[in-house]
Amino acid sequence: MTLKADMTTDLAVFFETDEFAEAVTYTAKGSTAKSIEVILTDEDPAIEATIPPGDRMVILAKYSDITAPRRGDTFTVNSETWYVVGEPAGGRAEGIWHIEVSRSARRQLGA
Amino acid sequence: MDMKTLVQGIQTALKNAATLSYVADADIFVTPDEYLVPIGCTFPAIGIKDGPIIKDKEATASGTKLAWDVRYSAHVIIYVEMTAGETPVVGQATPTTIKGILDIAGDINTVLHENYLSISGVLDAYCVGETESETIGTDDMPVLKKRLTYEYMVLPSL
Repeated sequence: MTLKADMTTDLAVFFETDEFAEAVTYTAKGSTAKSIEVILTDEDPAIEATIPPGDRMVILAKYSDITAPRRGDTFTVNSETWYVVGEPAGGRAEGIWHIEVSRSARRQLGA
Repeated sequence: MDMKTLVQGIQTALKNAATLSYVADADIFVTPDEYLVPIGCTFPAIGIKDGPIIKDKEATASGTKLAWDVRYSAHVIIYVEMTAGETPVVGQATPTTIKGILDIAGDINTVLHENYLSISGVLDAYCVGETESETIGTDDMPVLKKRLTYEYMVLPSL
């Protein structure tokens, strides 16, 4: 087995609700909702707070759960809707998506 | 006739337009500011914002009734994603069709020009101006914006 395959297999350990993960609802725009396990982290990886502060955070999700996250998709975390913003990083090669989300209802585009 | 009816009428007309079927209904929204979009919005998107209302007294009728020339302005704002090359402006035909901001402006004009939106009292409806395209947005989400302003004329007796 390759290291890459090993790492993908090991993700199951981390993405476990008894360990680091939390069950949330993911809804791709135009699709039906589904429950997946994700890891909630801070927007700034240098901050190791256990509770994501502010209006933004980064959600780590397995590639096997979400093939192509994009703007317009939502996560429901503790009954609160978080919207995908920006371009998700990571993906197939890494096995994990790093998805920036916001709970603000609107986005300021300047001026 | 009031501004709320007008703004919602424009939104309904754009959502129902077959020529704008490539814009998701959820991405045709009424906005309080042309630089604010719903966080879940995808592109292309169309924002609708109320504009000024100009009232000119035209003539005095008998009694206390006056004839007025009232012109309601409404802004229709187009947002497209700032992709590479000329596509955000003029679109592309192949390999997949992508509408540029000028294509979308044309499609909106097709829907709204001389469209009285079934609102009682509207006598004229046309685009009175378009801004040039403008780059706005953030580093992770650059957007090209263009604003079309439509004027709706009514002649009420107040």
